[in-house]
Amino acid sequence: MITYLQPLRESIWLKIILVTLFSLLSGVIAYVILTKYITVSPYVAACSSLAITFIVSVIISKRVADQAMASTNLLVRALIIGLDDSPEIEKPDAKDIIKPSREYLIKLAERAMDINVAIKSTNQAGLSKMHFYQAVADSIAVPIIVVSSKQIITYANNAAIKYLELSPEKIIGQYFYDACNLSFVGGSTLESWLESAKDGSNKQNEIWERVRLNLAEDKRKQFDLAAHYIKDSDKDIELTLAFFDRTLHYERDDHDLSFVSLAVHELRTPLTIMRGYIEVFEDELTESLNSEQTEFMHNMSASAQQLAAFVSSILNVARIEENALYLHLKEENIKKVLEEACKNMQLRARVHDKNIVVNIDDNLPTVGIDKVSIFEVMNNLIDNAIKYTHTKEDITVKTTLKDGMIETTVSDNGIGIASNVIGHVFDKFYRAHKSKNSIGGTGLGLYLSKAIIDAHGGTIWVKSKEDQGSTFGFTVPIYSDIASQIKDSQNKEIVRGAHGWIKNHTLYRG
Amino acid sequence: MVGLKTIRFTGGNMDIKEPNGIRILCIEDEHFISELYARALRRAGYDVTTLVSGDDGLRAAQKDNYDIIMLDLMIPGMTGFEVLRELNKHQPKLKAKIIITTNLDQDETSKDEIEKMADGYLIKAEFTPRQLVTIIDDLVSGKNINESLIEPA
Repeated sequence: MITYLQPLRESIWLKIILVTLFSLLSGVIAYVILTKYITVSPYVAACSSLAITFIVSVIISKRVADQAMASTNLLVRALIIGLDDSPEIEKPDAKDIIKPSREYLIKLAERAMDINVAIKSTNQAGLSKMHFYQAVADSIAVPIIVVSSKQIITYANNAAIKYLELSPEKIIGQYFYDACNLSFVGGSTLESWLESAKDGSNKQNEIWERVRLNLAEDKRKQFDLAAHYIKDSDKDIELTLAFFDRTLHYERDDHDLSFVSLAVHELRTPLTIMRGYIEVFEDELTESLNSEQTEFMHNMSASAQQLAAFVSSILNVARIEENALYLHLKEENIKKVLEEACKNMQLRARVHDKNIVVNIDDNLPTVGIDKVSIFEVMNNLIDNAIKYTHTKEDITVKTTLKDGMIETTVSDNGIGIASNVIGHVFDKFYRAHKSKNSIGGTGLGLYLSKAIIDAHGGTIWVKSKEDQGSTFGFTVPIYSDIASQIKDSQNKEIVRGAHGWIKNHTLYRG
Repeated sequence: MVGLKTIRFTGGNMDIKEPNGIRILCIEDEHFISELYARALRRAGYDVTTLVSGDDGLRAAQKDNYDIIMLDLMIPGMTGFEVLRELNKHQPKLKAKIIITTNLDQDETSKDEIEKMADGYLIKAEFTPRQLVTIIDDLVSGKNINESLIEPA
């Protein structure tokens, strides 16, 4: 493999110089021939020799480039990325193997030696060519899998068996998707590619980045997946897959500043400033403003706050999608929590000429919930009830013990939801209602609520009839059922809110 | 979507209070934000020093002349997180209470560490300067922190 790489590293400039010299030479020769022997005018001769120079250089460059490309074929890449398991080595980018570092070449030489040993041992045993390739593949640190056109795994190298964390008999001979539960980022998947491959060329390569392998117990690995297929005359496809593990790399991305959290940070900074100055105006200008201007000021302030809340929702949606929504489950008195949540919303209901009626059974067992998140769910449900009720009728909140869970319902007598769209109300950005243009909202509230309740191990549901109203309900677990799963928080004095926390009494000096 | 909550329009009555002798160090690189915070806090009687970089902030904090340190996380030089770590390591008995004021959402990996080292964590965009002053007033007076403050109503 070293000899494979070295010419690239050492002689790429030499080749470029040779190509240039050779094409120049051909131009000069052409010029000499044209003027001396065919005796055309110097102008025509100059033009034609320039054209010849150009054509010759293109042809030779193409050949040299093809050669360079060929030497960066899949196997070489596999070897290079296979060295990723040696963290002390500074790795070149997979796409940039022209200039590997000295240490890297040494490491590569070691790996090539390993392969060499494998090759020698198989030769001595006098095994077939097939076995020879298998031995090579087995000694590579990159997981490699071969899949037949019936999507059965026909071969997996040692690294693949280790990587998939399954016993060999659960991989080889098994249906591919049973052994590997893969999720792809974006639209292009292995399946869609194979589908298009049926009519495509006889040979093709493809690479997907950030592919995820879902293992047992929520464990996951992330990697770049390289695929290569050969189609034989019967249109049978033999697919070779190589997994280039990137778990550490991508996880670090996810945990550091992902794009979304960076965007959220950048959006929040000007928002903070706007809200701050609006407040200064509110505090100091009021006396000089007329009532219309005062209302404008109020609208501005309310919109800035709405924007801040929306920005936070985006972050929560991103968390849900990265499976990174964490709850702080604690033992809580459900009656107290819901009454507090309703109290917060009562003011808003009054503004819209509505009343929230709270009807919660006494003596309900305590629940294991994340209070701040349940507040958010209640805010969303009550807010919807207010928005989609155009009469003065009451909004009813009820809580009962049901099938070993605590069930809370929020009912209104509003405009209801049509039966053909009711299945979508918990979808992201889905805003079903025909009144969506007249009623504000982002289409994230119910999506977030569902994620929060799911994370609690409960269920959320809706029953609705058009023009008669809707009832949304959700369940949360009883504390004693989940007490053993709740880690006792060491920070009991922390007071948590949706947008931060404070340790209580920290500055109290008696 | 958390509904648009109605902000009661209090109008022009944010009293200017007498100095209360409590010293606050505000480490914040966004000039407008530190101006707004300093203005609101000074009107409420606090003695406010503002600094821009993590290195200056750490040096000032080490003198331990402050009662409260408001610390942004994304600041030039040393990050707020590094400042926090440094203070926690070398001056565990620091008198000042450290409140992280940031627009960065707390990520789960650093959460435990920050909870151990700091005394509060507030998302700036979710609070107006006046709400921030109320939280600090409550901290100082030893009143029970009202949760609805951290989730502004």
